[in-house]
Amino acid sequence: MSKPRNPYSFPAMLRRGIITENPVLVQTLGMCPSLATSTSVSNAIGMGLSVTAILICSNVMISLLRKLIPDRIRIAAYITLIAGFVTAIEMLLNAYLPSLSESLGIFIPLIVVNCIILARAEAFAAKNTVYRSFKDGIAVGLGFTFALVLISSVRELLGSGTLLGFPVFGANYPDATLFLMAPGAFLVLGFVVAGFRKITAKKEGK
Amino acid sequence: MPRSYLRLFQAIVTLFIICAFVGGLVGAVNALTADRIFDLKLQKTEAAMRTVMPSGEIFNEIGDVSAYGFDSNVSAFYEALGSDSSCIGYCVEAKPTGFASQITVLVGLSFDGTVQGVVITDCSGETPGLGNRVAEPAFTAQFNGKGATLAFSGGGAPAANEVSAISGATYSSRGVYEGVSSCIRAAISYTNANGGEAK
Amino acid sequence: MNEKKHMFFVSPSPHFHDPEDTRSVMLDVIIALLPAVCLGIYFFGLRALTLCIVSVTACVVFEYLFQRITRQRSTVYDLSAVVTGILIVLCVPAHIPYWMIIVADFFAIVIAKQLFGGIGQNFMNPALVGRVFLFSWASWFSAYPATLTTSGAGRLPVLGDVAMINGAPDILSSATPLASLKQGILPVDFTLRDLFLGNVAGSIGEVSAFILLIGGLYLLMRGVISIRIPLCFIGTVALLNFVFPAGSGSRLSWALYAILSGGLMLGAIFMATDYATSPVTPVGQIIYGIGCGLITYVIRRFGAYNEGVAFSILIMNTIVWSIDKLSAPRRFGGLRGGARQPRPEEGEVSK
Repeated sequence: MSKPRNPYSFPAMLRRGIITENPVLVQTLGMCPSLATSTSVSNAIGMGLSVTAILICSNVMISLLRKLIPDRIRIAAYITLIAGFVTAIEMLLNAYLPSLSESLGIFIPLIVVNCIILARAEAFAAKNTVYRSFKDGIAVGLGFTFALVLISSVRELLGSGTLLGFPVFGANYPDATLFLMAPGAFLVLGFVVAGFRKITAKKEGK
Repeated sequence: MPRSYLRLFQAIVTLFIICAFVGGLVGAVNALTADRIFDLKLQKTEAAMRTVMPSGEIFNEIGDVSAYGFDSNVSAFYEALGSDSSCIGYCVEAKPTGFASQITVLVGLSFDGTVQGVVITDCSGETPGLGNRVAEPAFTAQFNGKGATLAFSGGGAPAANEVSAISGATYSSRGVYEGVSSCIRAAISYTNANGGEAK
Repeated sequence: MNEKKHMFFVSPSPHFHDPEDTRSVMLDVIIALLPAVCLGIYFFGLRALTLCIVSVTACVVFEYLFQRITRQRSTVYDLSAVVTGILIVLCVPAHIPYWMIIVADFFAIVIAKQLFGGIGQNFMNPALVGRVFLFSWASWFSAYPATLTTSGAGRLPVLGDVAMINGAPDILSSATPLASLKQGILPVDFTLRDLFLGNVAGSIGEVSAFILLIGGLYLLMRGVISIRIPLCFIGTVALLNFVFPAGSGSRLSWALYAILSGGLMLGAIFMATDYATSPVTPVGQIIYGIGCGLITYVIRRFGAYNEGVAFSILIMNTIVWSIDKLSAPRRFGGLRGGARQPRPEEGEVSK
């Protein structure tokens, strides 16, 4: 007789956050930064990890205060907390990683309105313990990062011929700049989501 | 005390605590990083100015430029001081409109408005592969040595005082030209206003 | 019973079959395009021919492979892939590299056409989508080769590709008439006669209005296209340039130069009239043609690009569904827009 699996164990939560309930590829949340910051893999990793950091902080904080925040003002409270953390992260990035801060530009402050963070706050952190919320922050944040890395690898490879800055196709690669711009972003996103769902559906089927 | 008042009180207190916490957090991080951010910005601007004015050591920003009647797209004016602390030229920054956005142009100039160097510090809003090629040295080097007679060539081989556009990026190229022209005029009017500093 | 005497075949309608099917329509289009292809080869050299062969082959191969991989019945015999291949070649300049036209073919056939369900199900003109995708490599389109009839023009390489020097293709180029019109000046290097016959720089198939009109006439006579869309499209562009000329010169000149320059003839006759992506109703077609003409004028006059035909057709493609809906004919006894009459309530007298 097998032990019943704990749905809140770290591996189970990781699996949900990255694969079965991936915020970008399955829940289609957080589309705007996914499209805008996925022009290169390094940008994607930077953005993804920033969002993960903020997600962890906001999840933990909101979980700590969940019994204290009255229902009527919860959105105002969440946004204030998230904005605070985002501002702090923005300043830290400006000071210690200025090149990343420059490439991500306005999308760092826009993390405040990233629906993933508010969604996890509402759906999970407000109803679960601090430790679980902490794990959830990591899992969903890594899922977001994973999705962004997937999309940006295609876009960077086709659009600049490089991966993480290393030229893969040699110096004479004619950059398909469409993929670095908005239409290419949508195209790649569509195909990546389709491919991801196909692969995960197959696995679930088995 | 009615429960509704209690609830209201609780809401106020909670929000107050949250705002105090956030305020404290942001304040603390700011205190930690503000100086460093300022230094980094300064370094970046100075590095850009050194590329257009290699012999400049110190760059003094001239704060109040209203008296000189600069064009509206000139955003900053610096005097470049050499190793002997005398003024050897100017660095002027302009933000003309390109094709889709403002382009930030930094020009090193001598007293009579002759261009020593041009560098594009920000053309991220232009079309990748076309408009943002104005940042390439092949384009910006055209401006070197040109002065008040600078003109823009729409097509064909440029004359001695003309710069030609990057084919397919006419608006961006013209924007940069407008910016450099404004900087040249700014340098000349500054020199004239200061009695024609000779060097 | 003598079977030979009483040979009555009993079957449901239809009892008369028109021999026209997709393949015959496509054959007619190919015939109509052939003169333009030949003239393109005359003006731009053998490379135009090899590009055409590569393009058609690639289109057919991609369609066949896609249908094979997705286990569908192969429809390459209806020749629609061939038509797409020819159309793409006609709207590119002759100096683009072979890999680029293959990429355009892939995008047009696989993504714009097959992924949406194959012929008849696409909502955007595949050839134009393929062409517009090539703007990823915009620097290749910053110069257009001069025709071989221009003095000093070198032949474009047939094997291998043209090199890029300093971000521009290494060809002898001349300014296209559209570039001149964009500056607000009537072209001085080309006369109207040049534009009509095709002695100008441009894409392989767009230069000669004359030969395209001949092709269009053939299609009209064969009943493949109706005159509504091309007439409204070209007419609107001409009218707008007549009423609002972009520079000095006679209004008539502006109107004529505008309709003879660029890809307007090619687009209006061969691309805008594509069955799957244009409206079905006559009124709808008129609206569509006028809309295309309007957007083309606006892009040419106020937009950043010299040519607006491709974009205008694609933009109008996206609203064809609503044009069809708005212009649906009234059902006999029904309300406007093809809706049903509301059922009368109990006791109400029906209108």
